[in-house]
Amino acid sequence: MSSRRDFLKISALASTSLMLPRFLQGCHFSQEQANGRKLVVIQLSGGNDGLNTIVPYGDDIYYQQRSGIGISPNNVIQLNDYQGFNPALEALRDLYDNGEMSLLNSVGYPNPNRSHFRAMDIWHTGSNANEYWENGWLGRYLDHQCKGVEASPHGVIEIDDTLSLSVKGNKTKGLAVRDPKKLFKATQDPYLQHLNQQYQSSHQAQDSELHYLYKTMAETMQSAEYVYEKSKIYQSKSEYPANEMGRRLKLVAELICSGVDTTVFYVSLSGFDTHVRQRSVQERLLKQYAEAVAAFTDDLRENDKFDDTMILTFSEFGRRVKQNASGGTDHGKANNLFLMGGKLQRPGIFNKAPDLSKLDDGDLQWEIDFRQVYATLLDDWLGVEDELILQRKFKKLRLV
Amino acid sequence: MTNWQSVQHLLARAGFGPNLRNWQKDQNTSIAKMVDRLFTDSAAFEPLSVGKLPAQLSANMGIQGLSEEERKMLRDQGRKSQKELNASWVNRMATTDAQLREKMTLFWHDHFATRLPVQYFIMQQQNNVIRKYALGSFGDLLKAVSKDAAMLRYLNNQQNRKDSPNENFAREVMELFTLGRGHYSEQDIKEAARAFTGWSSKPRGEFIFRKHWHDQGEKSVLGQTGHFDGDDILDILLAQPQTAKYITRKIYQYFVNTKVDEQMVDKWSTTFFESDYDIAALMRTIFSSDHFYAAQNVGTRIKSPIEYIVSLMRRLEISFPDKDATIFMQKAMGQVLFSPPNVAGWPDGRAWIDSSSIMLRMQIPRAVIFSAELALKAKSDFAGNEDAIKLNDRGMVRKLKGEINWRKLEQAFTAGKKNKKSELKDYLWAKVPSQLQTEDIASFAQGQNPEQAFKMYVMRLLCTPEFQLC
Repeated sequence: MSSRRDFLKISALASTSLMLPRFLQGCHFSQEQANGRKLVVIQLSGGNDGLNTIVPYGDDIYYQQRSGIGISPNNVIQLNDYQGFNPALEALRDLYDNGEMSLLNSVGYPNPNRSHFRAMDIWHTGSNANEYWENGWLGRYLDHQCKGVEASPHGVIEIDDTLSLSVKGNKTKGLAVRDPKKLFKATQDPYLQHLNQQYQSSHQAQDSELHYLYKTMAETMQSAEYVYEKSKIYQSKSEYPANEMGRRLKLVAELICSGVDTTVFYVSLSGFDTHVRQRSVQERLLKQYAEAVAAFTDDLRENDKFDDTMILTFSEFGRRVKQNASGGTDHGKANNLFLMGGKLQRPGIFNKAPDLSKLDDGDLQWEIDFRQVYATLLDDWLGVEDELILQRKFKKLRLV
Repeated sequence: MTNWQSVQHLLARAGFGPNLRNWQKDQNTSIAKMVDRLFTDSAAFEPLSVGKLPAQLSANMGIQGLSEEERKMLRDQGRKSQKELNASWVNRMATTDAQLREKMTLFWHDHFATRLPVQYFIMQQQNNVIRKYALGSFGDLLKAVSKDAAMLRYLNNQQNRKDSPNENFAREVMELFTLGRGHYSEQDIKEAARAFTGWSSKPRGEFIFRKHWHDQGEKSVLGQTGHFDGDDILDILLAQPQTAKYITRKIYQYFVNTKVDEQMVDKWSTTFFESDYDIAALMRTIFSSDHFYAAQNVGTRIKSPIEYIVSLMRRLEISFPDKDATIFMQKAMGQVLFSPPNVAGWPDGRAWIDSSSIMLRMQIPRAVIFSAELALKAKSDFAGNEDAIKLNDRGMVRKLKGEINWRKLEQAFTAGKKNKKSELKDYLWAKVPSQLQTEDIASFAQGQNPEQAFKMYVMRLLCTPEFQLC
């Protein structure tokens, strides 16, 4: 019910926006570069077991090494005569068959690390294994969006309450939002609004720490307002699974379909560290993931947005080839990675399956550096100079 | 700057901020006297201990000798004890008079960043090694930490053997603990790694030198050649003035200003080197210098989450009935003790502040004072089990109510005081160039009664960007 009061409220908001000082006037440069395209990154935290996700059912070694947790050929959703989906990924079968999914085997990096924290750090920052960087690859993307002018945090949105390193830049950091209304309400606190106005009407040294704090608060208020207003435009009618993953991807779809000024969305799903009784845990998570993604892609397709969307799914490492004594698997190295979208250059299985007879200390060897994927997405999809953001040159993959 | 502002600056940087006793007794205490007291109060070393070594671990067998059941018990106990260790350290920081020793321990905890989930007793041991040498000689500290089980395990020196060297520790000791990047070669790392072969630890954490793993051959490191062992390499690193400079610079950034005054660092690092790395002497020089109290260095440090939590607890003398309360805040704000992101430690300064952390910092005081609910999902750990799946779907709503002696707090600001509001501000905020007027803040602190209004006013002062600085 749209009332006069709502109208007044909106115009009041609009007028506060006009009063915002220069540091809050975001730029739209990224939108032009990306040409309306969106990148959605889905992080599977804990080290998803890639071998039980894309199962090498044509390889005897797989069954020898995994006598307790291997997935039998009859249950695998066969993609070619060697690899197939874990049955929990049933919901993604149509996407694959329609040529809307690319599977990359053996993705990793030199000197891989088997610690969750360190490995995730490396994936978030895009550093070499012996470097420690303090900002993330998508954060640096945000830094470079506006060529010198500072971007708004909502250029990159993480659907969560706290922010991952991957979306923290050097100058600008992304926006964490799980519930736009809740965030908006929190920023509308009259006292915080008052502090903000007080600060903006005074003249502070522009490089002080106090200024940085106030600026971050003001940007958050502005981005929260923007995202909340956008989130009201389109309410998805699609059916999503009733779990957190479903809710988060639904919010992403709603924001994309509302024409939000955001190029990158970041969503995580945790619980993949399956050292014990892996089958039941991993398959529940994969099912949640697959069903939510299927609903999400259907939603986008119906709204003519799927051609402009690219979904990247990764995990910080794969797991050892040989199962352990507890019906689980321990931390490993290289892993597979998925891309989904309406406009893929190379759908299907991108490169050959990992060779289980040639292992690196019991782990899969890497063949594609994950930063080649980043470089490809940055350059060919988002239209930015990848070398500037990754700080190195990586060979691109002709994926998108 | 008033004397109190100087006192407060010193207490906030050398420790975790003033408490009510400082406010009542130290308004006019000279800086010289305050500095003396900091060192006297921190003279003694008192280890932090939450429990005994797990009985299952025998002296020589390690977890290999344990059944699956025993290992699980060990893991569960480890997680529980790690939480206790975390909470009791936070509590100590908030209540101890040995403020400087605990602050230095936190600094070195970040410098020698180590993370060994579950092995709480090893982390407790390292924490006490650091605490013991925190104000001693940096050389002693470096050697003790390098030979301590936590570092040996975290940086894989257990796997460093003469026939298959592991360079991890040799690299980080140069890059992060002593020289800094650009002051050694890859060859130096390779050679130094050979010298550290054989340094290892027993299951219960004692150091052991495994002679038959040690490479007895000749090594050349930083221009010197000999049949070096690990201690020799550390001595070679300590003999480089660059090490003194690197450490002094890092101390400067943490205790004085993230923006470095290179002249001051040069001056202080020379003295530090000449004093044979006397940490206490360096800190005394810094805290006694005019430079430390210069306007550009006051109220310009963004509190890390630990500094934020502890300064809040200390100033209001808060205790939390829920012992996980501060751990929850640490997770939500992005700094959990004993869990640095990597061996380089936590990024400092502006890195702490983003859209979500700033809003969170504006909400925590309300949750602590008025028991407002903080509906928030902190990022989950990596665990892969049924509980972890449930956590994905459940919002974590925490009540962070703290216990505060309001009568005591209010009395400290009423007895014979003319302007309660502005004094409270002087107590809670560092000297910052704020535009906020006390009357203005007070207009947002209306209560049904004076007690309520007082609480509201305190909360308003805490819910400001100003309170984030020290």
